[in-house]
Amino acid sequence: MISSTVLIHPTTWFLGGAVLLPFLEKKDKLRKAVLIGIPLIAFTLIHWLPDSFGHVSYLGFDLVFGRVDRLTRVFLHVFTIMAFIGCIYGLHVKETGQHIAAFLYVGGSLGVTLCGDYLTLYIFWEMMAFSSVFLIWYRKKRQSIEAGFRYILVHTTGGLVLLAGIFLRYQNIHDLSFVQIATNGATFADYLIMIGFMLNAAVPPIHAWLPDAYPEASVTGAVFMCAFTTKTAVYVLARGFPGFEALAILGAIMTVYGVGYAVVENDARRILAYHIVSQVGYMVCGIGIGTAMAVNGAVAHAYAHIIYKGLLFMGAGAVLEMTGKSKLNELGGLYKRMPWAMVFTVIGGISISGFPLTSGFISKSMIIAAAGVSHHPVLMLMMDLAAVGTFLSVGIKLPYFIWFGKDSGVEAKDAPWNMNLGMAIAAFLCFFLGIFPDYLYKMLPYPVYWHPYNTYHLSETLQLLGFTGLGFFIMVKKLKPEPKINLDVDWFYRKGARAFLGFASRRVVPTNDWVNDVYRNIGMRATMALAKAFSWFDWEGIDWTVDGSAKGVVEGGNRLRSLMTGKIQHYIGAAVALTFIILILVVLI
Amino acid sequence: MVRLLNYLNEHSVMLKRIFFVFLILTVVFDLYVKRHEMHFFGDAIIGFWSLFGIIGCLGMIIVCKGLSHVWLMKKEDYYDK
Amino acid sequence: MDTIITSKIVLTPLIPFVSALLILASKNKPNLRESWSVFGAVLTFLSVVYFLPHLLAGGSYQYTLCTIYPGVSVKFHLDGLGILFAGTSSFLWIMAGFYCVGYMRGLDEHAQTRFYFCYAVAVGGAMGAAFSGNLFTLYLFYEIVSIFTYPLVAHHQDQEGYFGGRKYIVYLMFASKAFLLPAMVLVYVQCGTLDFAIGNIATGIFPHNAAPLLVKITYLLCIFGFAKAALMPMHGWLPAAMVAPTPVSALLHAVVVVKVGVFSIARVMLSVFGVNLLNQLGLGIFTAYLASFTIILASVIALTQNNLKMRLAYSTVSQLSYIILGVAMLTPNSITGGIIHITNHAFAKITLFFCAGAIFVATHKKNVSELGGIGWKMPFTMIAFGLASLSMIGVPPVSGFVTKWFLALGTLDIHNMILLTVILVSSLLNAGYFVPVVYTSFFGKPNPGDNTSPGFLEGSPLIMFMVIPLFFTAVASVLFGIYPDLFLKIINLMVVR
Repeated sequence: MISSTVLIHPTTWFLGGAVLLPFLEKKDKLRKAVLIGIPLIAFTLIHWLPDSFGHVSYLGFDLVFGRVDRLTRVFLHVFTIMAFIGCIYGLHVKETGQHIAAFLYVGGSLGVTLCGDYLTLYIFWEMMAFSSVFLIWYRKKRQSIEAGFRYILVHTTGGLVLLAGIFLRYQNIHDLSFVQIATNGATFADYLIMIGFMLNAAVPPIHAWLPDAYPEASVTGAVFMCAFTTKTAVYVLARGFPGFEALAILGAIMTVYGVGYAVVENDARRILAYHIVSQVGYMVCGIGIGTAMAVNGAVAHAYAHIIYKGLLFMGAGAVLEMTGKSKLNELGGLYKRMPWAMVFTVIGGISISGFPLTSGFISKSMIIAAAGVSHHPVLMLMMDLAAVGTFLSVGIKLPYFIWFGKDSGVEAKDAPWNMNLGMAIAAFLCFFLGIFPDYLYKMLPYPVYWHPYNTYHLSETLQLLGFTGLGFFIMVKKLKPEPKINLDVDWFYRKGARAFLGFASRRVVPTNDWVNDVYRNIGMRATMALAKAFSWFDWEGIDWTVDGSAKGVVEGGNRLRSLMTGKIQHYIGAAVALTFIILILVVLI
Repeated sequence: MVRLLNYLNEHSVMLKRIFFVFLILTVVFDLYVKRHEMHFFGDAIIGFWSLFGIIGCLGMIIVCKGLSHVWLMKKEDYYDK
Repeated sequence: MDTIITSKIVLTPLIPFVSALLILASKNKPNLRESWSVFGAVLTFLSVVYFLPHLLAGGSYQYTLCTIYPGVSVKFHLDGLGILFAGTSSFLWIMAGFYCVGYMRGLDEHAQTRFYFCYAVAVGGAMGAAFSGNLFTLYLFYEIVSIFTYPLVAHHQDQEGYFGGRKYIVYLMFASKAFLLPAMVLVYVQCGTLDFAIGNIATGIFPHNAAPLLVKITYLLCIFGFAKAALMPMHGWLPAAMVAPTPVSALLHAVVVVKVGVFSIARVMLSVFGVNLLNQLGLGIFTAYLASFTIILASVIALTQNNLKMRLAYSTVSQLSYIILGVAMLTPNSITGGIIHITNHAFAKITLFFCAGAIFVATHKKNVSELGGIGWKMPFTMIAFGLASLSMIGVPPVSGFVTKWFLALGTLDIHNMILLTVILVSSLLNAGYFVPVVYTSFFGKPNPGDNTSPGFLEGSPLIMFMVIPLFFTAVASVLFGIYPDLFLKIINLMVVR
């Protein structure tokens, strides 16, 4: 029965929630129940999903809305948990529109995760883009509006590249199913699809939208956005392109690139945004390496990252919400005023750095070791370097300049209970996964032979982190944040678009206006001359003969036309003259 | 908890000493650790990762800050013109 | 595939003319007059639907009204293309009928009887064109549409109205007299008849030994003669016509008038020249590039327009060429995409213009930059605008995606990557000029001097007359995207021959 398959798909529940929410605007308790309830329902549903469901015929294609295997399940698991945490965190938000956007966004992400063919993927992919942009716009600042516009244009372009790839792939093999692509069998179409995926995964050089848009999103919006767009892209890359060497190299470059910017940026959420680029780099690199251990590592890292990145954004968001500030040079010494937020954020920081007993330790190390095992020492070192940078920028620098350091005198109360609860749940999960890694390892797509807790790994990690910390304290004065921005590759399209619009206004439009007035400038004069030359015929009569039984209409038209100048008569006369010339030519030839 | 942190803040010298002791302990610990699989030359060297940590950290700060100051850093309203 | 010969098909073009007369007769009773307008629209639509079952079974209808001389007659012949156009136009006339009430009374416009009269006749002309069975009949009704929309464009009777109206009628009349009339003559001379080859899009009516040069000249005269299709450079009348009241811009210049133009070009390409001849002479690909040029250039101009209706006008110019592009690529997929866009674009564009008009009536604002914050006062309107914009951009599952899908498949069929890029780039350009309207209206700062009372502007009854139809058409756009099957079936029957 189609209705039961519709109901078992978690996206349906999010869509239903989105439709229901506007009607619940006045009923606060019910609204909150819906906000928390739907992710919980989705979380339970995913455990009962059949392997394949939701086959629909559309435009002559067989769409597969539900294709479930181990890879799918682990992502569904973490996406629904994150949706739950995010909704708790955002319970206080009064604007229904934000909740609707978040629901549509999560629903889209689940839809992409569950899909089995490219057309369904594209539908939900666009749904994600067009709903998440509202999460940026709801911040309502002028910069947010502009950043959102750039975001949607970039994502539309990425979506169109993806669509081009889908079309070409369909033309090549007449099959739209979304399956793994062999590394030696990839065509131009497949690369286009990969680029479309890479844009959402924020792979440089098409990553600049992320640090541009995420810091401008609303407080709760950013929490959702950091989790879903990029990790959905990681999922589709893991599904379609494991083992592509380009991804391994780009991924390793990404890790260092993102962390490099994170070290020098000033705005807390921008640091975190660049950091997403870095951490996703680990995942992309793992997928690129392609071995079972590497892909396992990538997936585990995605899982852990969603939780602790969400936690970090929640922390920075709480600061923003309570103080109105997010720039590091304006903050400091907040531990006295927002102690709980500080504790949770610091937990997030140590988790992302990969301290033992946290989720970062059990996931990041797997990928790095996988690089080592498959004889990619350079990649391994790059990722280790990025780990240094991670701890430096997000593990130490960020908390130091917000919570400790010189007191900035900023007044703030501690965050509301729901925000703290959301953070607490995430922090708990960070430790839970760190202490009981098997809970996550059992969900991974391939069997896991990796044991993170052995003496060598502990030693390696503690040394790395300890001495990075030392480096920070040596250079702490140099790292003082400055209220400046750093240019990135978006410079090209931001300046380029301005130039293009200038060209359009200054050259194209005046030309168009001239062409439109041609009838007056040239046409009228020419026709006047022509008409005068032929004015010794009785054009009225000939006009009527040609129009035949439309005579009555033309007469009526003539009366209307005589409201205007008589020049019309001359146009018609000239045109009929032309007719007769042609007729004569045809007859004679 | 705030009191605990205030206490730690005031006794930062003590914290620093504990930190240095910790660092030395980690390197010493490395001496006794069994190496299982050598994928990489650095795995065999004792204290390799400490060096990597400190040099990597300092190097990254210098390079990134350097690039930023020399080339990429602009005023916040750069794009608004 | 049998053709039923019945005079019933003359009814569909006739009903609007009769309504027009009834409107004229009830000029002193506004409510009665408006009722005739809506009633006539409903009847017209029902009469179109009446013919649908037989068409779905693969048949067609035909009737010759009168013959002027051999080969030149007033003849009607209905097939899938015609019924799609007629059905879309008549259904949207119903929507527009309600909308006009809200708009005209909301602004307390003058000369409403003349307005409704000309409106009805214009739609009647379009019906006649849709049902036409030969080039002469098509031309006849095409001209009726031109002439009776002139008073609608010049409606305000001010300086702007007269200038706009003059430009409008000169463009259209010049093109039709200077290009179409000779074209018609040439077709008659070469083919011996003006009748369309309905039911067979492959061969057309040209004989095998037709001189290529002459055929090409005839073809060029045709596609530029039907200036209502706004193929550049014959597009200047469309922005000029925006001086008309918005219901005119909505129904006529988004649905009736412009679709008569592209319909005529599609009809001429498919049923006069035929796919094979066009392929042979390379005219298909030539037209495709012309259309591509229009698509991109018009979208670029739209990016720079601050006046909302001008932006929508240039968007229309661009979207119409999608239809021409689809037909010009001459493959079943692309023709399907082009023809279904007649309906998809009609519903989406009419929604957009309806919104522009509703905003104008409620707030007297015309420019995009002035729309800050209006989304909260007129949420249904702006949500409808958003949905229709998604259709124009081509986001699934809204109807515009179906069009782009088939058009793209068409470009793949003829292995032309340039055209595929054109389609994709134009989607991006569409996003570039529609998205700012949406975000300005919801998240932009209201202008200083606006009354910032959080009033819900859509509550008053006159505005309701406008908002309900536009929301309806927006939802229809979404539904047609999810269930395009009926339209696909109609087109399929015509195309797969």
